[in-house]
Amino acid sequence: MLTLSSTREVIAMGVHCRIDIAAPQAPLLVDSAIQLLTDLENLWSRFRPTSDISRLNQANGLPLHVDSRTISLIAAMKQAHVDTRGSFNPCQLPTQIAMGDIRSLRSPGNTVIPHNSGVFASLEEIQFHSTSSVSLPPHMTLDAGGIGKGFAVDLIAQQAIEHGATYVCVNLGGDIRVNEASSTPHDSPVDIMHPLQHDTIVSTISLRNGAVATSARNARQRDGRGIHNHIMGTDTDIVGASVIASSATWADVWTKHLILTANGLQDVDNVGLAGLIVWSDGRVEKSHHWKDFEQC
Amino acid sequence: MMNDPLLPPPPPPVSSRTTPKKSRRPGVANSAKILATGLATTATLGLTAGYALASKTETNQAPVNTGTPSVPTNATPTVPAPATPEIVTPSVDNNSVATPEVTNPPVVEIPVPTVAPAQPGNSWGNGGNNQQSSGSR
Repeated sequence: MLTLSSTREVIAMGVHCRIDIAAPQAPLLVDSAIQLLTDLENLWSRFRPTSDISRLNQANGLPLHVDSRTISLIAAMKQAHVDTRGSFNPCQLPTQIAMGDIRSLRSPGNTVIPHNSGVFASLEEIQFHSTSSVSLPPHMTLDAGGIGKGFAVDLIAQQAIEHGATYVCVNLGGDIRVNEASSTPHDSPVDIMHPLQHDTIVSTISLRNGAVATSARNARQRDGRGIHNHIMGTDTDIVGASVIASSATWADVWTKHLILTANGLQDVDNVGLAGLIVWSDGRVEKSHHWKDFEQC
Repeated sequence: MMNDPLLPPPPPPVSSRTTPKKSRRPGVANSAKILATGLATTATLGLTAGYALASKTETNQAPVNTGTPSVPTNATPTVPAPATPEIVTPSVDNNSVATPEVTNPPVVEIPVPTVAPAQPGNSWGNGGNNQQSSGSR
């Protein structure tokens, strides 16, 4: 059967998204991927009052029925918070909003949270009551943010593979997932861009199956709008980080740990991943496993 | 004697008993009735005490120690649950206003895929279309 390649580029979740799929039904799979991306944005955007995340942020502790994919996302948030010893924290929305990060940078829409919302240091009190019901503790709010993008990328790639794709590459604002069959001639080089010098490549890697994510402190400051630092926590001189992992979800989570932890590269090595950090003075530091993916 | 209207009327004449008064000596029938009642009461008390004593003996019967406890060799001993204090439920006033029952919904665990390393590519520099990972720009 003839294998076709299809590519589509859209703006979604506030960032640029590119989807490449090789499959006998590639155009249809790309259409399905775009539809899935749209659905997930409707579920997780904090700028849409009807999204699962917005409804949970307004639920004041009451259990709420949500999409099963939202349940999986929040479960991943809880696990990530534990595994990174709190570096990854998706409930700092009140601080972000207090600093002025209210509006979407791409589309109309504001973030609305209760006035008595607070920042939480633990996610233990988030409770799942079924695969479609969850409750946050009163005054807690969530921001899907980067982990939402990573989770979406993983779901899109998984859907394409399950429907016969021999190659899929999804790039959602720097969270990239690649899956390809061993017989395909595709190569998936990825340029890791400098967070401050936008035209500078700090490393080029190649992936066959896996993901890479890049986070930067200034990612929510564009064209004079937004805030200069959206990654709250410990102050370090690290301005950006990239992580290579099996999934974009985990790759994105560990970038936050790298930015907020001075010795984070050692932690990333310890869990078997590869990491890269960029210091404010321009220095680039790579973990031990990074060279396994880096093109010479 | 004259009938003086200021004087109280004279008491009526007391009639004399015409039949002889019977003797009050207890008879044989009464003695038998008392004896029968006493015997029945004694029997009832005796039976009640007997049943009570038998019941008490069964309750206090100690279990027979068979030596080795009957626990499988591969079983993990479990710690007995601590004694919980008896909870006395307050009586409910049927005339009070009914309130909706608030129940805690069950809590379930949601599995999360574990973190794992990626698989690197193996065909360097074949002129492919490079992606850019740039932190959400």
